Amino acid sequence: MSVGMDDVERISQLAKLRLDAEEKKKMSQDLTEILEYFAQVEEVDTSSVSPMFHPVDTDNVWREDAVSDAEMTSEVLREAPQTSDGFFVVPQTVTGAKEEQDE
Amino acid sequence: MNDLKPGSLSIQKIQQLLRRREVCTDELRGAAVEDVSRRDQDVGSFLTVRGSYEGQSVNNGGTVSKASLNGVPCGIKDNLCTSDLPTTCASQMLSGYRPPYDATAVKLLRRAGAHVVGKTNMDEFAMGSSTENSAFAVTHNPWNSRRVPGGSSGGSAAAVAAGLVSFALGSDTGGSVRQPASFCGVVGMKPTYGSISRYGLVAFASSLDQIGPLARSVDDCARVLDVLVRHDERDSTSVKHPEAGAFASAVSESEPRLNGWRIGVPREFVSEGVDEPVRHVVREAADVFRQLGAQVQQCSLPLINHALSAYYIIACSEASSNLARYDGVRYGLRAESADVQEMFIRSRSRGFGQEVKRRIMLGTFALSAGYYEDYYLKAARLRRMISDQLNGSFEEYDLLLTPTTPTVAFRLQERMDDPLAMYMADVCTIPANLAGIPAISVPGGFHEGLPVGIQLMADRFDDRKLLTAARAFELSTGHHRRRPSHAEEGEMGRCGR
Repeated sequence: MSVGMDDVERISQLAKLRLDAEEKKKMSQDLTEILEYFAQVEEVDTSSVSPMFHPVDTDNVWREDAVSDAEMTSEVLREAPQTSDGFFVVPQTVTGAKEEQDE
Repeated sequence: MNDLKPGSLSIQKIQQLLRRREVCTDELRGAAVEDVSRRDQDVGSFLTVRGSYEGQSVNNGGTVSKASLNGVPCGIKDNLCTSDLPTTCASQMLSGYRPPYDATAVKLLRRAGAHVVGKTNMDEFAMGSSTENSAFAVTHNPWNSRRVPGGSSGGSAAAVAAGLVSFALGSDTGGSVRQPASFCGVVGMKPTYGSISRYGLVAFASSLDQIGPLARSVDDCARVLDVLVRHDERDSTSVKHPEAGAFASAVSESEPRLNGWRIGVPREFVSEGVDEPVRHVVREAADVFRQLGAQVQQCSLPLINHALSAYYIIACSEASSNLARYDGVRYGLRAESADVQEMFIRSRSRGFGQEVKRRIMLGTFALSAGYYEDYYLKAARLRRMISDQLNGSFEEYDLLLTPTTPTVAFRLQERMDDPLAMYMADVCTIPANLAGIPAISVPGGFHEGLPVGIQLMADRFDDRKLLTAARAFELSTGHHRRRPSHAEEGEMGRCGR
């Protein structure tokens, strides 16, 4: 499995990372080398085996959907880069909606 | 001059000094901080040291129970949340981050009277095997300052080895407690998956992550486990361990024997990929166990050769999902942009270091359409097979004996340009994480002045067995008593004189 520059570009978009030209080249080399090593697993027939996603086969753990630790709101928000009136603030994500309605 | 160095003392010794009123806990706390401030410059094991020791719950007087960690100085890996100290995961992404709460493990330690001296250095987000991936500091191996301490819990291992703290907490996803313990000549244990609550541990690969103690003896490790192993409803993977609270009692015998114990040495772990001096130490350890009364035999676990591949696919896949939360919205670094998508991308690209990006990329690839079945699912199926093979071996053997690492501590910078060579450092420790079984590294000997660890693995929930055998080994060899030259003991207090 060779991971080319196009693959690196595609994966980095999925991962929301931007790599410069040099980083891309290094990433392509590193991922290719790592996946070549991983290719040895192909020799093991796993077709009849169920995948193991977790070491403990426990049932889901449920709890009441109740508010707790509500008094911590300000402490939690303290660490956010930008907040307003108890909300996290992000750059505007919806644009033009009102104008379109008005037309 | 005060020559009290609380961090160089065992838990038992500290309890004894307190009981005889030769020192008081305030004195221990002050001396521990002072000693770290003075001596850690050469080691670089701490990222943050608590300058003032007021304000922590001080549990003076009263009875000193056996489980109590009254006045015992400890280090906490910087991926465990502490409400009074920054928690950075050694990443620019979380530089200066102050969690609103203590991790359950930290809370339990404090409740038992332990003194959290500070936060220890690590590989960024616990990704690495040398602590060189830290965004903030270089940690040196106390046995040889040009060598790495191992990783990712390298700061914790170095702090314990240098006698700065009596014990430290690390996290072990593929060997991150045991591998640095081996490189630094201390004891490091990863208990059965789910034994110690992961609430407040910054997630790397949730199906593999487990908190574990590092200490200078198996006895100290067991005492810390007695405090930490308990069910926590805040962690849905937390288990009710049948042996909770009975770990220290498993190591209390002064001349333990292992008559009738069966120990297997899987030949795949002592193949040519492992340096001869390390194999030599394992052979010697096998002889020690024979002298203790155990039967030691070679066995075979052929699928182990695929554990590294399965591990890195699974760990990176889970990491790519877990680290999606760092988007510059709720905490951590934000790189401004008028566009929200661009803000995500810039924040992540600036906040994460090279190895973290590499693993996110690898994981994203393994989970992406067209590759999911061939990589992630294939790895998960292999995990089942490897786990079944390991578990099956415990029908025949009480324990498995292996090296902890294929080499002694390597040189700083030696492997930084070769990610695959760095991943190989975890080849012996990874299988226990895949299967969720307990494993411990104890000092097994030395090669050219550098410590060599041996690893013992046991069946799930057989943590006591592991401790019993490890304790028998350390008592009969005494390797754990050898310390790096500048980490001498100091137990003279002022209070009682």
